Amino acid sequence: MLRVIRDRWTWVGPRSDLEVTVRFGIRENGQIVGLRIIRLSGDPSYDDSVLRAVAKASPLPPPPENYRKEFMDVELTFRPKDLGG
Amino acid sequence: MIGRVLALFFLCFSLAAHPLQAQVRGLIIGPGAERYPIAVSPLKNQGSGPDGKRFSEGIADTIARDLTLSGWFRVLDRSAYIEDPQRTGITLGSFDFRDWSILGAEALIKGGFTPQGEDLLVELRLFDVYQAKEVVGKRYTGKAKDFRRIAHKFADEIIFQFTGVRGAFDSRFAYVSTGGGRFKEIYVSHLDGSDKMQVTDNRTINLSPAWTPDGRSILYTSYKEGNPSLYVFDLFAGKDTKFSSRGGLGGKWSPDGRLAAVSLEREGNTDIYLLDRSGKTARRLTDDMAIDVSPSWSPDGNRLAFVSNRSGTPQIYILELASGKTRRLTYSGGYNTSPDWSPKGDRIAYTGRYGGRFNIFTIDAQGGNPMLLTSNSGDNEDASWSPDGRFLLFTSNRRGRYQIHIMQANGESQQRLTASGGDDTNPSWSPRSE
Amino acid sequence: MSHRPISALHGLILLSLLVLAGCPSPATTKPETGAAAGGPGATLGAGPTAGAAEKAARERAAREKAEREAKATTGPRTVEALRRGEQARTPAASPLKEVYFDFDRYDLRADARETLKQNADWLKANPSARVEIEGHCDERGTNEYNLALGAKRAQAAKDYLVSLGIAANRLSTISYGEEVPVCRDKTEECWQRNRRTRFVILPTRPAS
Repeated sequence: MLRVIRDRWTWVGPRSDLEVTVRFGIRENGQIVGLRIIRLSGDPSYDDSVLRAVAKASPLPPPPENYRKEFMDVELTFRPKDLGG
Repeated sequence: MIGRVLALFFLCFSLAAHPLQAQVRGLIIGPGAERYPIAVSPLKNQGSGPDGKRFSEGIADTIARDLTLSGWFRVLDRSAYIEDPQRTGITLGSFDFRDWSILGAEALIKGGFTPQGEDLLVELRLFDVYQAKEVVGKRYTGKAKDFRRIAHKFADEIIFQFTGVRGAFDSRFAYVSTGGGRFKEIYVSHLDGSDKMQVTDNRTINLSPAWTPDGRSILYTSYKEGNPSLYVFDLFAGKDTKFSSRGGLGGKWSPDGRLAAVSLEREGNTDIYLLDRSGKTARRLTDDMAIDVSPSWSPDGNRLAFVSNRSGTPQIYILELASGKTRRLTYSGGYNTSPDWSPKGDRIAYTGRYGGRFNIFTIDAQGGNPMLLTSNSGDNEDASWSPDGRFLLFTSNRRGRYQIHIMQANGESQQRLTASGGDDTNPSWSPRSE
Repeated sequence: MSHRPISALHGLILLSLLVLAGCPSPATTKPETGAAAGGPGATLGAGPTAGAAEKAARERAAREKAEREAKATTGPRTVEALRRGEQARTPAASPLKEVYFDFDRYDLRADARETLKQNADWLKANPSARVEIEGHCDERGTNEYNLALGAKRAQAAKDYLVSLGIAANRLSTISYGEEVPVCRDKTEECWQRNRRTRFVILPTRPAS
């Protein structure tokens, strides 16, 4: 799941200290619902890029049967790589 | 714009709800393999003259190539573009962002040009497609024939806007090529392969090009008078001068341009010397029976990395010029050569033999944390840093003949630059152009 | 390099050399009489009954043969062959054999010492011959380091020849590093052929 979202995330920026956290649910069919930011980074374009990445990843592979309830409440934090600036 | 409003709304919502900790939590450090999608529109002809496809597409092509080489961007295929750049404007409100967002572009470059006799006026703008706003706009004037340099400058500006550090695409690189034949001659080219120029033409062997810090001249090794000696070629004056007659095998200029550290061979033994600008010996730096070659300056000019086989195999050493003290830098592997000190000063790139093949490594200037940047791709040698310290040129035979490649300083996004048909080796990245 | 008029005999030799190993320097050589003694031409040595004219003719023939060998059979200097677009090779008939090294080494192996002894014998028998020793490397590794390594190899060969009694001023050295290989295969067999010192007999008077 992380891999799928990460691969859809595109962002280039000067700061490597940004951090944004989103929260959402994953339905049985993999559909992402209730996507929202719960901690802003302070850089709107960075926040945007994360929202787009998660939205583009929907639908995800269906969550494991035994953990469907847990996957209705997911929290993901996004940090950028250092570009060597 | 829309994104920000949504984000604020969701923030308020989540605070109001006082959420308990989520049941599944994760951390993503990225972004991933997907590069930043950007559209580079052909430029609008704002003059009264006809067509101007050379500038319209030439500038867009050059910017697109630079952004692709950086490894951070994916330039969207022009054939999919919807709007006609000659019929829309280049300022906010004079075109429709939806023509670009529908293609998946997250950023957009538009611009216009006006030919004025020999000169060219060029205006270029970078837009954030999702936020529907202009990020930066620049105006350039220059000789029409230098339109590619304008494009390189704006590509560097885009990289500055995204990363906080200006790009290094308005610079060149020197390298050695066999072309189609058996001679090794020195060439200079822009990173995108344009404006390629043959520097030497003496039908022998020419090696190890190294730039003066002002980007004006190239120090190199040549067999043109029979025995290998050092020469300096002034690219602006087209003038070639002999620099050292004594078995010169290669050298590099100090960051202030006042001295050259060179390896000179005498009686079969090679040592490192400092020569002044006229080629006279200012100081001998090594004096032993081992091979001492390939000096590379630290950016502050106080230290030299070099190769010595004094331990039995070639390894990288650091010499502190003030004290004359030397310490060994590399300990793993039996063959570590061709050091190049990063312009940021923190890392040293070198060629190491690993698993029977040659590969590019970087290591802390203090000696820790060696990183393998190339693997499973033929032999990779002769790393040369970009002036901003974020990229490396190197030569690789991963596709047969040796060709010059570029990669990010962490080894990502390795791409081929040259395809001469012969062997292209010894790349040397120029200082930034003024 | 100036091209001088050449005699018919020279022309003939040159012609055969073009086939063999490429055109050598056309500079004239004037070997001393002793050049023939002890060399491959020694069997021509004058008998006690020979007349003075016959003896002179034999000596001349021997001298020419020595000269031919001195000029011909080691092939041209690598840089000159390169300039002419030819491959610099040491012909099989060369009186001075190539010496081979291990990877990243310049110490002389037993087989290298044996070869150098034979080369020294020929140099003793041809005391007017001056030789340039070329140091070469295989393609692996860095160009500049290999230039230094080739210089070490050439010097190691020179030092050994001097220790065998050859005057140092008859021997010069040059390194070609990995720049002029004799083969380009990525095999140990090819790499070994490239890790070598090559011996080139120079014209008695250096070509200008």
